[in-house]
Amino acid sequence: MKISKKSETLLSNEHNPIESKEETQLWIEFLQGNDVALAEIYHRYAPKLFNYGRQFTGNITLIQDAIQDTFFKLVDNKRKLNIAQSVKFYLYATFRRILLRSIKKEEKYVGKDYWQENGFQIMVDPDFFVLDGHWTEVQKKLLQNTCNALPARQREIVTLRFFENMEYGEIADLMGLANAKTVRTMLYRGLKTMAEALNKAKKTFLF
Amino acid sequence: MPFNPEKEEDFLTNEYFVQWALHPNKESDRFWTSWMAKNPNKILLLKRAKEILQSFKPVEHQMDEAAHEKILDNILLYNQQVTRKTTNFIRIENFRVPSVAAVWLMILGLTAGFLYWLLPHPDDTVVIPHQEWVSKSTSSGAKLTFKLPDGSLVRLNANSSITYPKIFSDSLREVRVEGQVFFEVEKQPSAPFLVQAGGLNIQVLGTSFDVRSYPGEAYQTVALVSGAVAISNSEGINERLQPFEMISYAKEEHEMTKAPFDPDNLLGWITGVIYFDNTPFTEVFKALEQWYGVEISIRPGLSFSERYTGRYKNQNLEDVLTGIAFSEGFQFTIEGKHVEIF
Repeated sequence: MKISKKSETLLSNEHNPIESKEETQLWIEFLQGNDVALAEIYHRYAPKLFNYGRQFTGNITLIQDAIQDTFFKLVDNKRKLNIAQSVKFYLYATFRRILLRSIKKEEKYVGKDYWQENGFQIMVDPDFFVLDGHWTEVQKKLLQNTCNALPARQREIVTLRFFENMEYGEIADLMGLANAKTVRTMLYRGLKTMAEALNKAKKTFLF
Repeated sequence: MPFNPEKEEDFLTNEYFVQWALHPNKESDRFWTSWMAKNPNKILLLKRAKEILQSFKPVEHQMDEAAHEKILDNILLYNQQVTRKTTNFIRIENFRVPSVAAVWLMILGLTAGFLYWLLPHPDDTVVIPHQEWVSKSTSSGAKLTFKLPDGSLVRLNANSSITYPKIFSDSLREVRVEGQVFFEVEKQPSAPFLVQAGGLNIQVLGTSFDVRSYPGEAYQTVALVSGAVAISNSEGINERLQPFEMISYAKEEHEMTKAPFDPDNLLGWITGVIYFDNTPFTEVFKALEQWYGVEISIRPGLSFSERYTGRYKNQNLEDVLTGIAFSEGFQFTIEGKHVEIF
């Protein structure tokens, strides 16, 4: 049973970054105490948070609890929040903190580094079609493996930047990295690796 | 930095391209359409690179619908409980509480004359003797946030200043501003907070508001997010603002109009958003000068489109200029605080 994708399509059809004026209006309405606005924010972000959380752990209950707690915190802190805050960033940062804390508690083995988990998988669309149809299954697989072999931090940055459309500064804050420049550099490295893989995949085809 | 891709991979390392392929917006659409027009021999390459990028997807996981709905129910229930608790508290305490969000008051523009406060004072004495006044200001490209003696929070945008007494009097908290200032005023019913900006006087009772009052600008504005403010000047203009309303005072015409406002446009400066909406190009460069604290000189004879629309969030000057430069077809250099457009 698919969750209603209505909110998702609304956002992806708009040619606007997430923090659009419409979103700011929604945020204002929520801060004013509008229940419908709160529900809308939930519908938009809960699935994203779930997906994001799923990259850190397979424990569904943990993730769901973390989502609920995140929104509880949002309601608690409503009075302290103001317009200057980014909806998305607040939710992601709070969720990440809550989830990682509860994962740590759950982990049987101490010191398990979540970076080592196979999080932030990127896949190539199986229906991918290129103009001159040169891509074979083998090549696609090769490309996919390269991307997924990127260091987890780079993969997370690629995901947050290109799939979640987050700003560098926000990503830095979210992931506890030094600053926006650090994020950019890591992103560039990731892109370069992917570009080289692409080049290699092409050569494999030609010969 | 000319962008000269030879193969698809080269597109991949252009972050602006990747951003456009996955999250197009008006600005980047225009940029890349114009780039394609200028590089027709690379169009096929571009299309292929775009397709490759669009074929990448994060592996998606979905929550089951029942859980999704149940959590929402819990959240809404919790929200009710929290709201009820705070409302009861308020009733018992006999406060009138404004909406949760902070209030932004914006006062735009400064008038030449000095206008006096017209609303009745609780005291007879209006003149506060032997006040030591303190001034804080920002230059072009800088912002400042700090607290006033009463704990009220003040945020200054570029080229702005605020003057206030070292010690606030018991009956009146008075400040004077120029430029764009955001206030979050501590509630003190016994001592109303008064802001003077150009000819406008704004009386405030524990709210946050944004004031925009720059000399040389035709309008002064005051925008309120929560709470209540009363605005007046010596010409007998008197307005009260409700949350999410703003007034706009046209200095030459001496006319004040009230309207709802666009928070993104007006408050963008606080979240680091530069926002142009059909803005004439002269204003675009002026805004960039102020925002980044630079001087922009344009080679005479250059022509630009009439107006510009674009939105940049927390981007550095080089990125913003690159974006505009490609769509307008100019080049630029940045050397320290000097920008040359040619």
